[in-house]
Amino acid sequence: MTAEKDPVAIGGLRFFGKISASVSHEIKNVLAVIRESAGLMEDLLAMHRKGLPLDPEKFAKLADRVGRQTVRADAIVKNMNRFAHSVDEPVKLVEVGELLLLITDLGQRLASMKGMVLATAPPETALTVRTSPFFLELALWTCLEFALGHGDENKRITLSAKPSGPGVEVVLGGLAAATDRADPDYPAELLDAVQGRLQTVVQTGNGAMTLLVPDQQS
Amino acid sequence: MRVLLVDDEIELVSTLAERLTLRGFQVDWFAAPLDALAAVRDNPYDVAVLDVKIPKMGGLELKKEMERLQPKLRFIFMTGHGSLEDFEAGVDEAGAGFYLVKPVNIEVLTEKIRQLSAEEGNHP
Repeated sequence: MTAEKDPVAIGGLRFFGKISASVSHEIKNVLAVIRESAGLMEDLLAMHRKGLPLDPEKFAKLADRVGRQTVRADAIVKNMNRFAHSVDEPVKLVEVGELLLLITDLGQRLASMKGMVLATAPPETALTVRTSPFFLELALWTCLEFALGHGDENKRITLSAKPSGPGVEVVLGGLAAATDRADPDYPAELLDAVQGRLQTVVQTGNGAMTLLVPDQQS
Repeated sequence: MRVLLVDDEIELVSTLAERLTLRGFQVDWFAAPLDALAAVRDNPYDVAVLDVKIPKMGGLELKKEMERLQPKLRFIFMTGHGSLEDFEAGVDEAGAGFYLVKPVNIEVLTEKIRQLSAEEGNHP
């Protein structure tokens, strides 16, 4: 199969593009806040030069805002960096709790745009599986996009994971109970193709999507 | 001149509002589109400055709802220029002259607001 017709190749590139676009949008927002904060400081200084009193508390708040926004930008860039490195090795030992947190962070804007809340319930103890980090992220993201369009009345999608035999079981909860594979929006072609690469099984029903991810050493 | 600002980045929209206020405008700002719609229902505005990508209801949809309530209201869109598709949709909808890419230049925004407010028959 050529790359142009391979659903995983096409879906993988689109996934990378979507994440890059979302991250750049987030960074642009941070820069806009910093720029306006600096602009407001300039405005206040210009007024001070004309004889109006300067409020030190106002400046302290603006400086604090700039500091917080740089922390926010740092977190966004760290996530992008982690995501970019997920294609470094075809198969590696993946810490599933960390990966769920990464997908949750990357998906926050998408969730927010859809009026949904996205949360992670990390495993109580470190949970690892030897698998392809990028394909697992692609599978999770594909499920997440579908789930965010099919949430129940609580409008909250939760990602969690637990051990399952020699692998792990990742669950996206909070879908409407009647949602299943027969839904016209269900991304069957891509998920089926990713399942083949990951040797994963995706189950949909009873208000959840479940990914059974085997350890590829076993 | 009365201006309405809508953007889900609270620290951005509140700071922009403050800067416009220092330039003599009467500004109300909102992070949630439904709150902004309620304000338009109750108050006359000259110009609404909207982010294109607002959660739950996009800026273009919000514009349509606001126009129903205040047909003479004029609009300026702001975008992070996230996609060409969004940009072109916004230009079609709002007119290329009233579309600003973030971070916006406050003097350009100020000038655009004054220009739109001054157009004949714009005052409610």
